[in-house]
Amino acid sequence: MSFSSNLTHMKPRVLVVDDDPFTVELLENALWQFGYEVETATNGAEAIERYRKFGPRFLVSDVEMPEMSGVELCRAIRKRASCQYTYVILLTSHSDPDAVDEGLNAGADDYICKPFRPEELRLRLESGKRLLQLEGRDMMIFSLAKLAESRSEETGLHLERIREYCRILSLDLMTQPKFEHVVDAQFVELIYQTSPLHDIGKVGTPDAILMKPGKLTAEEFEIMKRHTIIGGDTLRASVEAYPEAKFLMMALDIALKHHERWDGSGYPFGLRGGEIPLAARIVAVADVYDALTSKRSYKEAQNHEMACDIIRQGRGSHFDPSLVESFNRCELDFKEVSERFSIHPKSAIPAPALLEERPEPSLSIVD
Amino acid sequence: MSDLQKPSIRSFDREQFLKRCLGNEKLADKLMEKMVATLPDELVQLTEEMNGERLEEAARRAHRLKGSAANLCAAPLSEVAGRIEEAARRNAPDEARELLNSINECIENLIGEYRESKSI
Repeated sequence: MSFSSNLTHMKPRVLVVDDDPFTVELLENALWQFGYEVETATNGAEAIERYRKFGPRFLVSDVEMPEMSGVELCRAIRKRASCQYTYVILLTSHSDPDAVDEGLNAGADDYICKPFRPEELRLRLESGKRLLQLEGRDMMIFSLAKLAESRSEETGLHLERIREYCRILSLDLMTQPKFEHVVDAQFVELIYQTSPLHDIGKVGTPDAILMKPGKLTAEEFEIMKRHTIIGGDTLRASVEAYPEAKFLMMALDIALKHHERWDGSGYPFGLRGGEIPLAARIVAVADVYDALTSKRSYKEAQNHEMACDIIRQGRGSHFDPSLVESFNRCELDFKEVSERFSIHPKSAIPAPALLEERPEPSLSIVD
Repeated sequence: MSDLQKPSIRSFDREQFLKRCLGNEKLADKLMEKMVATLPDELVQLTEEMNGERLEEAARRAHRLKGSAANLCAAPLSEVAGRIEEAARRNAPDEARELLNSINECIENLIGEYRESKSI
């Protein structure tokens, strides 16, 4: 059903290097239980070969090994040109603090004293994940910058409002028992960062359709709908490269599924209810509210009250009922954001940019 | 009850070792069996390296043995192996050779106590 569903289960890869087979097996067992995909090597040369083929995000290596030490291995890996960073953890002896200094100097990120403690290993890797997530985020910011470059000021303001609406809804959900284990501070931060990417796939929509001033034909609308797939495909490549980055997975979920509807009548997959990721359900409310309250070349902006009525009418059909309840609690905050970000010279905005959220033939946001 | 859940013995700490295996008793049993099976040969190799004044090889073997034993929570063996490694690295073969009796004793104790624990 969802082509991103398999990616959700992609495991971060760890390469374990140690000449002691007992340590290798113990580490492999612990890492496997912690949810990592593991490859092993027993010396430096083998490690380089495995590294090249396996493409690990983490390297856990002993320091003292025959032929090539862990420090030398680390140095060799850092010298390699790679599009993605490998987080290196060295296994060192208590009695050899110099090896720690040498390892960190060679580019290692962290170290663990032997014999390792599983819980410490887990926590060190979690720390590494946080760093790797930042790398993925940098990449996405770059993507966003590229998108912005090809878009007008209108899009920029639209994106500012969307992320504010999403944050408002998410903060409200944090207070609700039903969502307290799903929506936390990190979720709020992530949706604020990723929601502006919801329409990234429109970059691939032909000008003749994207900029058409009138209503789309059914055929044109089918092409327009593909912006979700295009956006999903674009972000999917990043998710595959950085499977540990929740940021990218959320961005993918949003770009691909923010036009799904609670009752299954949306696109591109016709997902229904909880099959639609929460972040996409939140963006759906934010996106529609923004479209309703924004002026377009083909329509005037509706006032806040009218938009609220339409959102409420969509409860259980277009929108998650829980999110409509959340919207009801926060509607004044929506209104404030709408007003705060509406100050722009509309007459100066090129006509094509105003067509971003036009009513669609069969799935008009204002039925 | 798994062999490794039986009361602790001095040569290795079974409870700690099971923790390192995250409760994987099958793995714990497998690794202990493997360790017990390979230790006599390790001792032979170590003795030959020291008698042949191949101290670098001896140090490396002792280092690996120290790490393996530490991971399997066999503290006495790990400690003596560490002393042999250190002596070999200092190029003190006589001192290292004197420790062979100690490490032999540690290995015998470990094997004996492990076998005993399995027969309980």
